[in-house]
Amino acid sequence: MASTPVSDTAKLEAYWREHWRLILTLLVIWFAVTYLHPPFAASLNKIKILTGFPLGYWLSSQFSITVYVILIFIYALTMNNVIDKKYGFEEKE
Amino acid sequence: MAQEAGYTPLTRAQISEFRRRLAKYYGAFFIFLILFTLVLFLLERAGLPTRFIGYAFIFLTLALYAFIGILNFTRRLDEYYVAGRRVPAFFNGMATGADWMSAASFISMAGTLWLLGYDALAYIMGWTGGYVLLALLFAPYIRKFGQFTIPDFVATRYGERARLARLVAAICAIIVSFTYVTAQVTGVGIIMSRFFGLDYRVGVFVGLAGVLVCSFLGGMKSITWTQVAQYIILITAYLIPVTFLSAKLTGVPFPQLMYGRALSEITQLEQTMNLASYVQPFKQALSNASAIASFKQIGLTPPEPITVKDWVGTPWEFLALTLCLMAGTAGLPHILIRYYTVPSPKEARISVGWSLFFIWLLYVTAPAYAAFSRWEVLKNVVGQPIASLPAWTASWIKTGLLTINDANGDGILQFSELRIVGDIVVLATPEIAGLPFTIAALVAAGGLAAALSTADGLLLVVSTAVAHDIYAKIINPNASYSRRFLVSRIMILIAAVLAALAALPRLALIVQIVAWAFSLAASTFFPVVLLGIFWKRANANGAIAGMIGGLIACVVYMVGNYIDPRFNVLGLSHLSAGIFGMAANFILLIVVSLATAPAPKYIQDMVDQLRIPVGEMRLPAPGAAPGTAPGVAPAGQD
Repeated sequence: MASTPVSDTAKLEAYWREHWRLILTLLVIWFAVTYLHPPFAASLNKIKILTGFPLGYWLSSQFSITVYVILIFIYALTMNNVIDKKYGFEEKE
Repeated sequence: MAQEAGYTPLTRAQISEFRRRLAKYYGAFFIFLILFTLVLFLLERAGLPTRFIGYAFIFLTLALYAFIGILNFTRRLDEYYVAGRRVPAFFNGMATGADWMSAASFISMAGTLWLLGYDALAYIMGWTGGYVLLALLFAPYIRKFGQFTIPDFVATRYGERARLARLVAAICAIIVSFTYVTAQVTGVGIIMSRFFGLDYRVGVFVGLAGVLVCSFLGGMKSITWTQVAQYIILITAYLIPVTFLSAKLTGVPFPQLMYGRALSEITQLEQTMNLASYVQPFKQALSNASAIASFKQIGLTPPEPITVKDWVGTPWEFLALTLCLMAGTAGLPHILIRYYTVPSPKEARISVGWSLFFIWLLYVTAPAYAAFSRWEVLKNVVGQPIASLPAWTASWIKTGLLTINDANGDGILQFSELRIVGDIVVLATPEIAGLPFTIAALVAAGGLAAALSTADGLLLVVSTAVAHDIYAKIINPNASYSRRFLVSRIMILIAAVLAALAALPRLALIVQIVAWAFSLAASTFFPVVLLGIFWKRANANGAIAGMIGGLIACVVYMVGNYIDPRFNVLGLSHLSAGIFGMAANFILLIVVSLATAPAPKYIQDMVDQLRIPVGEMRLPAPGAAPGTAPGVAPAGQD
């Protein structure tokens, strides 16, 4: 990128807003899978799933951490292949 | 002589050629590792004494690390500090995984789960969820900034007071990383002594030699390529024993899925034996038992034992600890600098995904280790006549990791008569599963790889904080390249020897400090880097006040609660002290920034540039903006 003329400023702001929308959406999911289930773990544990996991234990030990991996790939792929492309921020040879 | 450190981006063809070559080398290495293990297994059956199998594994792995270190000898500063910024996302992910997973993750995590049950899942969630913050809020911008160290970032972004900001950040980085590396060296000594029969102190120095051959010659470049190999060793060694154990106990070699059965069996056994439930959350009372142990070891008068049970059953400690570990993860300098080494911000984003995937593989497996071994203990050890315990228990009673004491003298082992040191969970699994010694030696090599790879990354942070940030940027900005190299290498040596000396007494306090490192990182770097990226109005006064205030608030709560657990808010323990440090840091950073003049225009322009995910940063040259030298010179051109 060369210097940022005025017309680019508007573009940059639109890019930044769209980027925040994605980040905030993903952070809301991150927050939900991290903080909403542990307070109820004792009651959730009464439910058994899969090979016999108590649900509360399973959510913390497998579900949440798997969602984290997926969230990061969604973020990276959406930014690189959709949002950056839309605003012309692509790597040159 | 040292060369100018110009950054030349690779073309796409070069990058994919490089990737193919790496995949070939490491693929061959993985096959070699498996064949090597098989050969040793056959030799073991042919009667080779186990001691030689252990030596073969240490020798092979240390020789490999030395080989990679020598291969990557460098005279270029950008290779020494950031591996030339050409590490592909996937391989940087593996290197980050090895950098991240220490002796604690490899050996102690499963043991902590065994002992604490649900409550230890805060570590599993915290140490993975932090990568979401790292990916979304830090990594691409850190890469765009494109410097060498985290104090570089702080000094450049808060350039009005570059020297002071750099000094405070460098000191914080040294405190956090040095204590952490001391614990890794302790881990190396323990593994060496337990598996290979070396004296603990000899083990410390042999292990250290393994770290030095690698980081001394090639800095970040050789550390990166060694860490990739170390990741392959550690994950192979971690997955094999538990997979066999799962097959033996449940008939299905898929531990991550099958330990659900272990959990439900454990629950039934607990009910018949009247034990507290393993999966029941929030059982921990606050106590100062570890403070008492540490005080005694150092030779001070220990405080009175105090236990606070008021908050048992509330989720606050679990939630706060999770947050501290997450923010700490995103603020740890040795992890942040890994994202300087990828070619671009776009690669940085993907790379965090790979990093977490490779870490996830181990973390999703650790609870399986804990559940299977708890099942084995409740089923085949507890309630059995002491005369006829399973064979595997005998050798671990000898090491002191397993203690049985027939308190009521009935000849039957009750649960309360059994004491377990958590490390046994991973270490004894090969034996419980009936695997040959070769696999146990592989596990030891894996633990060694985990400890060494983390120690490598940390030593580099400590030595660059002194050699680059304090010496080359503050004390002697005119130092020549060869002189900087010399200072860097001498510092690695000094830091390594100091870490070894600090590890020799084996203080319990060190393990404690590592648990605190996350709170310290959350209280110092997390807010300053986060707002530095996203809030233009944040200025140097705010950042310096925030870092110092955050550090003080964190340490005060930590020490206060550690000594006297009655000093607490909502039952939060000293492990979660970072909550208060982080809050103090954010508040001070915001209030002081708003109360003083905004950051100058050139810094605000810099923040704008950060948002553009392509191209390298253009930073003002020294002298271009008044009062900016020596902090803002672009890396490699000063």
